Amino acid sequence: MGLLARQVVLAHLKDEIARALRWASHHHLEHTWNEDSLTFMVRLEGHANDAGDREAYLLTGIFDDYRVLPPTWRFLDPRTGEDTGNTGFPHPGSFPGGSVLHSNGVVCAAWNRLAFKTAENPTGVHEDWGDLAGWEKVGSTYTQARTIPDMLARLRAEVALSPHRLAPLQPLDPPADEGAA
Amino acid sequence: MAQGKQDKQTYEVEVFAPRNPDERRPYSWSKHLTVGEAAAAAAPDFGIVGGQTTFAKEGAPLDRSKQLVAAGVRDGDVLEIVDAAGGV
Repeated sequence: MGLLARQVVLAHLKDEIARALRWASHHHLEHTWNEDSLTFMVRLEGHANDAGDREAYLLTGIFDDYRVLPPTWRFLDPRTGEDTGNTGFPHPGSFPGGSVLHSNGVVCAAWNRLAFKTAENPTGVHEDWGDLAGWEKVGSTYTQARTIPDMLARLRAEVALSPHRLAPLQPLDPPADEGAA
Repeated sequence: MAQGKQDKQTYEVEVFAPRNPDERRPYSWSKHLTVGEAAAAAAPDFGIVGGQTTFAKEGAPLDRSKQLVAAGVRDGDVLEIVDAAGGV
């Protein structure tokens, strides 16, 4: 059960999601907002290799209990929309100041719920950041993104510098009837 | 003789913040100003306080420690303010 009533969350999101949609449109990025699931998705593109090939990324943010708690940011398999862990995730690049792309496949920023080590998320990296509800007060030496568009812009910049995917995408299962003839 | 673009010591650029891409503000900066100094000067105008800001040019972030000219900024560019403080 969430901390906030759905209508309270939607009231918080009304302005920020409108701005996030405008940001994505401004950059001509394919995106969707699902108010039922409180999920924003945007497609990004990075480097695949030194030969100049491009790599597709699918970034998703879930906003239950926002802004009491930070969003949950994940990179999904861009073909299926499934959470496949490292294979959906961009390898950290040489971001000036230090990348938020952690080598364990987590966006390591206080504005990502998954970065916190909690009882619900024991694989989180940071137990030194305190309680999730204090996410906006984590030290100023760490990344500070105060609105959803700020977070999106940071992640787009990270993907732009990523040299390649953290792990190769696995082949998709063939359709069930393929080869049955 | 007209001053060539490469000879210009001052760059006229436009800056916007992700939270409002439609609000572009003009700035005039020495091309030798660092990216970090320029971004820090502009950020409060867009309601961005604290943190370590940089600019992104066409989506790619610029090194805060470099002078604008060395970071690839050119006269007439449109720059987006992006947070650049560390993660991990």
